[in-house]
Amino acid sequence: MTYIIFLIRSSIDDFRRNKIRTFLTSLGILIGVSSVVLLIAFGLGLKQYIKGQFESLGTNLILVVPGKILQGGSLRAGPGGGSLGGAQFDEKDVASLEKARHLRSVAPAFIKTVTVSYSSTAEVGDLFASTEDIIPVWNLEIESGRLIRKTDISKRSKVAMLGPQIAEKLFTDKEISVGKTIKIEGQAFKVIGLLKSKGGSSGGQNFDSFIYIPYKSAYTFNPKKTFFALYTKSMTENDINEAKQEISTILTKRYDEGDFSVLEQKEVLNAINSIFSMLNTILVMIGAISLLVGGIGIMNIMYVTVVERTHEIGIRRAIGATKSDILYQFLAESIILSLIGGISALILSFFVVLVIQRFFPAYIDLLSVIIALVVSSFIGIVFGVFPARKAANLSPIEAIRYE
Amino acid sequence: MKTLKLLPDLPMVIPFMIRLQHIFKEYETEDEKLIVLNDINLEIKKGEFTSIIGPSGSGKSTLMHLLGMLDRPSRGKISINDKDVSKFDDNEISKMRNRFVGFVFQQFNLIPKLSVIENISLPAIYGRTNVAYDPKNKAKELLKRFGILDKANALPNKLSGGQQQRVAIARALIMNPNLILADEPTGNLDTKNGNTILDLLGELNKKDKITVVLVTHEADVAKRTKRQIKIVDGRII
Repeated sequence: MTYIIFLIRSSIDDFRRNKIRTFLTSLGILIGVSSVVLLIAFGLGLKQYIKGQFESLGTNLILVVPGKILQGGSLRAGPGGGSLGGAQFDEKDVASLEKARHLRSVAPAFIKTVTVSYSSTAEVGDLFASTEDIIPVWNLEIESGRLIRKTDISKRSKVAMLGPQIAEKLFTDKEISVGKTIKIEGQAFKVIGLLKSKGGSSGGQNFDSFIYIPYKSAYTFNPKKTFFALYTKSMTENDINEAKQEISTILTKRYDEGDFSVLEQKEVLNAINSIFSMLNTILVMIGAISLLVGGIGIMNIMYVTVVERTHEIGIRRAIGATKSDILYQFLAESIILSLIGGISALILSFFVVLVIQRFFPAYIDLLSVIIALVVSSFIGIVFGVFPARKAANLSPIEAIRYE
Repeated sequence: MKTLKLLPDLPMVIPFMIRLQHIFKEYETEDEKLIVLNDINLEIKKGEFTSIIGPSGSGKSTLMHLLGMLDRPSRGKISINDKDVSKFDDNEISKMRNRFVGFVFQQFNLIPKLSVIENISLPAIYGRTNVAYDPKNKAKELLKRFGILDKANALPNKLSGGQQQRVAIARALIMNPNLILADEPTGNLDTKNGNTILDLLGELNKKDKITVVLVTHEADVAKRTKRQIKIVDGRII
């Protein structure tokens, strides 16, 4: 124990004597570890955000999309529109799925970017056409006016609910939007409801800028009458498997099994997890490059230190230090040097994340802290071991003669 | 780690003896073979006060390094208490140096960044917990005995040459060695300080019963020891 304290103390004493060198060397590690920790923090934040969005949809959600998305739990293609190929869902599928015993609701979804105008103001917005069943799925809440009803769908009413962001753009005061008539691609729609804000976007879909209309009323914008996805809900959480089976049975009557995917929330979350673990790996690899550079910096400086201290090594050997004693001394120095960088990086990242959290849901988890500490110790060992071995293997007599 | 039978708890019980038989030390350069030590046969008994005297380049320092196990011979056998040193690995030899030998160098060879007391205690750290006393206390006792206790926390460069050499002797003594090897210990000192150091080494031999081997090129210095070994061109004459 005293021996370990001795090693740590002598290393720190040496750093005190070479403050600038110590600072610059650990700066390399600091930059490397910070980039890894921050990239993980961003990745985790983004993942948590998107997962949160899906989790709020409820565990009995079953998403039906064209193409084969999940195969054996791994990802083959990202979820998206009909561009993937495969099935093009239409009203027939909606109708047949609505008859399914295990399904509580079926909401087809169609998205299109449209021009929307009110008096002389024109804006670009995202049209989201579906049924009233999408409201609980997306957890949409009304600020003023009313939500879309079942009768709006069947009557093909030209009504719209506005997200607060698009409402603000169109009307100087969004509160007055309800009851007004807006034009979507030249067609008149009556604003029946203003939605509550669902919070910021993260590069993905921004719910606040959507214009929600009944899907049947959107057929003029959707002449093929197809949908990019069907949001369905099973009767209860317990009959999800039966529901999925039923959906597959119904759809295989029309399509090949490979032309569509039936995903429950768990699978969507798995898909998100696999996308983000891939993304994280790439990010960490990028960060690792700077760590490598930092490690080489440590190695370089340790080699210089060994040469500078050759005579001292000789003295230590003469009074009884073993090869291992010398090895440990230099290894302790490189590890501590690297750890100083790693710990400073954690502190720096912590503050950076604190600031960034105002705009972006980044966060540092325990794993990042452990990774930072383990990786920097590891770098200290890997890049310190060669100089330390050189020091340990010096011949005592030649070292003590070295001036 | 192997226990060294050579490291008894009470070193005084076993008579300490170092024996060199047919020792050669050679260096090969590109065009010639340099014979630094040529068939050295030598025995140093426990409690002896011996000097090795010779002109510069005679091989006396190399001989001292071999006695202190800092270096290995090219050929020949060195035994300590009848154990063949060549059979020991680097680790064991380091431990031997730590426990049995105290070095005193011409250049003092203190570690400049460590305080006086840290320099003196350093061998005890490398000896791990093998000492029955508190190294710091023992270091203070030695400093007191050598009249430089007030310098305990000073850095070596704040000390005079004579003081530094006394610190070096204190460091050599911290592990209660059997053998002190002093390589031109007065070489960097004026006559007065040199004499103090030589008196001290004599005292350590006489009072503390430590075997002392002194390497010097000065006949006056060598005269102070009971036994003198003369070495010229790598041979004892």
